[in-house]
Amino acid sequence: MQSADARITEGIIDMLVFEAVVYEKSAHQAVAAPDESLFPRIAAGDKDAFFTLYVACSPAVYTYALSILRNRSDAEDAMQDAFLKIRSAAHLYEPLGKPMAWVFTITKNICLMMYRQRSRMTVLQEEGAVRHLGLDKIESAEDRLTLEKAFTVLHEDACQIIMLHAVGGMKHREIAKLLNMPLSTVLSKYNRGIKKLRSELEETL
Amino acid sequence: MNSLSEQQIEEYIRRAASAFTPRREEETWEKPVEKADPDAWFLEGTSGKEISQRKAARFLIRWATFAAACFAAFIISCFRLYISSDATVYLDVNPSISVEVNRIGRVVSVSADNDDGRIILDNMSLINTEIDVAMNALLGSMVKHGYLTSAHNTLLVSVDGKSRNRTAALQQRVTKDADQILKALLVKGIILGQTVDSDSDDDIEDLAKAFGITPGKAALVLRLKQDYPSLEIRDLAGMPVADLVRYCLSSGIDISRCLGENGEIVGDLDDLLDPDEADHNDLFDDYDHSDDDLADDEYEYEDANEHVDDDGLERGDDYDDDLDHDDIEERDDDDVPHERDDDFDNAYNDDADDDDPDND
Repeated sequence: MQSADARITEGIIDMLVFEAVVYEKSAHQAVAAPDESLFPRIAAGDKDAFFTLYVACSPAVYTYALSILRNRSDAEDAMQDAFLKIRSAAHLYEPLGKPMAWVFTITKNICLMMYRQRSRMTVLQEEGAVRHLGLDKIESAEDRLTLEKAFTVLHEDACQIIMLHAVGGMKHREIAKLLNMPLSTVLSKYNRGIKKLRSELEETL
Repeated sequence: MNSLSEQQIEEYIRRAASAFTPRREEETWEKPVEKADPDAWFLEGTSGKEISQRKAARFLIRWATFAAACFAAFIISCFRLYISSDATVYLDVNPSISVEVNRIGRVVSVSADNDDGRIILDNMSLINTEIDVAMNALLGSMVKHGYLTSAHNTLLVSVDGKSRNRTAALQQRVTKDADQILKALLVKGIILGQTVDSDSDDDIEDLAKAFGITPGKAALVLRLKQDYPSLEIRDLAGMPVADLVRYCLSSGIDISRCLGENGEIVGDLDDLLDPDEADHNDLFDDYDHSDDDLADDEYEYEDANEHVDDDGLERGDDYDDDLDHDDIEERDDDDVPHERDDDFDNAYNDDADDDDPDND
């Protein structure tokens, strides 16, 4: 029995390690820029190429959309619309070495269009933010709390910059171009945002 | 809890984002899409061409702004050069007039330093005219009013300016102009030209203000006094320039030595010692300077002028810029007061006599 239990325990441990490796790998992939060769393949109707792009970019696209729209359902719609538009315009992609900038520009245009169409802006309160943003799906308390604080205590600009940098893997210079801001402003907002997040998290955790 | 690092916080966010992002790739793939047009609204800002065009436009705007700023600075500096005084031309006969000119030789302002000067400037508008045109008008007016005649044709031209080279060049130019104008109006003239630096000596300004003369003449008087201490400042300052030169000649004073930097004399000084002017010479021989002599001098001086007025020339026409011999009219000595300032007399001539008739 003991050996059977030991084998079960070892199996569970191996699974956990495997999941952790996969988890780390997927997290790393979220930051890594997708291969530019995916776009002509998507234009040619390659489903795998599209899925690869989706897996690589969707967290960044979704959190960026959420940081602008501050609403889960709107962000989901924006993300789906963004990937549909990416599919439809994949043949127009120019390989300039910045695929994430291309994806985020399309996402920004869609989000701003939706933002304009909305009659009023959503003001997030800390209470209910978890449910409102769908953060309750996140199992890790630290991860959930960090994202929750990022969406509730940070200014909209700082939140967007941190999401683009942390999740989208964009460099500060690229973020400055995307958001039409001076690089110094982007750096300043990023550093202040991280500092504020650290302070909030250290108080709470 | 240890302080969270930036990387830890980013890692939390990254993991959370991966965990709660909905996976709808199948659903998205199933939806039909049409190929987008390059001008589609959602592609705004994605084109490399568009980005480079925007960069070029930004570059162009920066350079256009820089060029506009340079142009504005150029216009402002030109305007400042145009309206600001670069040098002052002082004219002394007995009327004393100061003419400020800008860097391109146009008149910025004209002012009279004594009553005779005010008579000359009466309703004359010289602003923005070339300095040679202004000189022609001023010397013509002096001829018209009798301050310059064929017998009293001596003019002191002094130039005071910011730049040494420009001042010297302007002095040569106005001296030459004055010579030509006097030749045209009076056949010949004597011009004493010099440059002065009134900022170097406060006494110059003080003396000029006290006696109603220009700083140019004041500088000459101070130099004469310096080289010939026996001379009296109030006598020198009160004399018309022609008389001053005659006095110097008759006293054996080399006036050319006393002119300022770039000093020059155009014309023949011997003309001033013409035998016909003997009465004048006699008069100035005695300028060494008893009080009684000064009283006599005044009397004789008027006689001399009456003599000069008998030059046979007809009265002139109304004033115009092209004055010639026909425009010359008699000099009226009543129009030629000799301004003095008692305070300055006392300051500069400790031994001045209060009974001097000229001081009354």
